Amino acid sequence: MIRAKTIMTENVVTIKEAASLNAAAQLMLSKHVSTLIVMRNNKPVSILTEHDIVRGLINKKAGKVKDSMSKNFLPISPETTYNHIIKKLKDNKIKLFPVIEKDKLAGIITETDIVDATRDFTKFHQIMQEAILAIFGLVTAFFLFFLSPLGQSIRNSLA
Amino acid sequence: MARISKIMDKSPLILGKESMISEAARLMANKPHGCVIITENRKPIGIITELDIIKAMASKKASLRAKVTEVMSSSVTVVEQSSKLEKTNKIIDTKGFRRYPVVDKEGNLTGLVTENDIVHTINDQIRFHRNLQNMILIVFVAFEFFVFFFYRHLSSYIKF
Repeated sequence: MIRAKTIMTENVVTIKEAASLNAAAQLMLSKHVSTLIVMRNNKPVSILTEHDIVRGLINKKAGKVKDSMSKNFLPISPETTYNHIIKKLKDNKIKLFPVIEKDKLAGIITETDIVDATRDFTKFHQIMQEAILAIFGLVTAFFLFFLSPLGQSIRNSLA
Repeated sequence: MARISKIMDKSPLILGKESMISEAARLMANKPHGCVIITENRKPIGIITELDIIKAMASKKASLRAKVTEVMSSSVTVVEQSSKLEKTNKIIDTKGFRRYPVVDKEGNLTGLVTENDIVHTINDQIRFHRNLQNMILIVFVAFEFFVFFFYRHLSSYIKF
């Protein structure tokens, strides 16, 4: 079972609530990330995505991070399973999951992480399936031969 | 076999090449697509993402009044709407972009497809395929057991 802690990105870039949007944009570019976690008193309170920055840019009044950060903040625990995350992704159209353990930020799961995990998951399952099929095929072939009249006659002639 | 035309987003955000960056930003702010496709005579000539706008804003080189052509990525990889998912997945593996404009045979823009849509659709298909494969396997194994245990009786009906 794949859990949130295995697919999450652990190096999360954080920003203070009172910082300006421009500073957030600079930080995003320099760290090559598309999402920032917004902190208030060293506790994660929200997320700031590229989309939020563009929205804040259009809305001239909002120059601060706290004015344009996302409203829906749905943290998950590191033990959440992959299937649960996929279900949330499809039902609620949430694409970002901050992973929080005991009020502390443990990591973040972005769309990219989920896509990568899905790719690996799919490949892994295909390989498993082929392996099981191969073993079954070999065992079946052996038994068929061993128990068949042909195998019987060979065993008789050897004995 | 699923084709791109089934899973693509049929109403992407589109702007002409004379538009300003602020128009693109306004379009993106209200919609969740995350990118605007720049077209000329219905053919995609470039793509502008939220990251491009943030870059423009942070570097202050291009103002919001500047034309979209200044910040857009102009070498766009398009996928044809009749192509198969697996083939597109291979293109994505080599190119590494997230969003692809979809075109018809004449090269006219018809939609937008993301890496996400493709990977998840393929995953769903493979799950279905896997369940089917397991069912067939179980039926086969059951049949084999039947043959193992009753071949003595079968041999009186069928001469080996």
